[in-house]
Amino acid sequence: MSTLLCPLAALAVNVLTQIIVFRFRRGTQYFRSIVESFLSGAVAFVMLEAMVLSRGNPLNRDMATAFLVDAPTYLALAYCGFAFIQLGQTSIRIRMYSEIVSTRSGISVEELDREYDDKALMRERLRRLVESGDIVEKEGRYFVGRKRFLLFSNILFFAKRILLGREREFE
Amino acid sequence: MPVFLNTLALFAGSMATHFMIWKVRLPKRQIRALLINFAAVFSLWLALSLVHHAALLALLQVALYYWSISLCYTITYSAVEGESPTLGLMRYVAGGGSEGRSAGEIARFLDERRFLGSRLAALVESGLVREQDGRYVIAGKQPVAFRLILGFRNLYGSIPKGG
Repeated sequence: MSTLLCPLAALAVNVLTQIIVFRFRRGTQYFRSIVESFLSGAVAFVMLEAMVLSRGNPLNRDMATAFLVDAPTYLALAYCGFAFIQLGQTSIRIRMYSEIVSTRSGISVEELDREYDDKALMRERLRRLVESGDIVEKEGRYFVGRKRFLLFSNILFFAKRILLGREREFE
Repeated sequence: MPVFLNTLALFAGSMATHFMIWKVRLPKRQIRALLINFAAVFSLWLALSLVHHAALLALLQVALYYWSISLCYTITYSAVEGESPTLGLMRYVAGGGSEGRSAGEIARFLDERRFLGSRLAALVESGLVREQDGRYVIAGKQPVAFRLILGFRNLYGSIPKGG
């Protein structure tokens, strides 16, 4: 059973570190806390695997199993954990649902518009992208800076074409 | 190695059925359909494994591995299904090529995007909220996943509004 627990225990370390670090810094440096918690989980994972491998176990596990099964499982669980945390952090959909849940009489589109100003949200995103160097502003014109998001968006658009049959860039 | 190969075959089977279903007819609730697809393939495999008296530990390992990568795919798929403001903006700026995009063009692009409306529509489509006399109200019980997310947010303390 201990073999099964390595990725799960590592995930627990990851999430606990995330909560502790995030609370300790009072909600600042969010992405740094994500990286740190992932790394702490990875360190815990390597230590646990080393312990299991050194002791031997009923499934005759070896390095290949640890590499092919446990490591991807931890990576996948960490990704799911990150997405779960991210959902609570930045998802507008979750925030909107939360607002609707909190009111007995429901909420109108106008009220939601007042609460979540579409234009302000988009301006905020543009500001963040410029600040992070993903978009560069030169003499009043905007260009792509760092290509990390562009690569991801190209992959997603490709997936949209294959899975959803979308040919147009924006619908 | 059997755990790895079993999981790989299982996941490949799920992806094959997923692609086939999506080609025949795009499901209305895509995420739900995707999860049902993963669960159906897994249940079939589990039943066959139990008939063949597979070892419990190996079954649990395959289950953990399979569901972790299946959920990874589902999470990533939600980005395919929806439209990300950040990624959409990046592609729009990239579309400007060496000329880039002017501040006016960017402003027009931002004005045309109604991400708020699309998110509200997604909530309605997923059956979480419904429209009643011009107001949006909760439909049915709060899902467990949502309670978990809110519970986890409470662990974090207050979070500034973002998006």
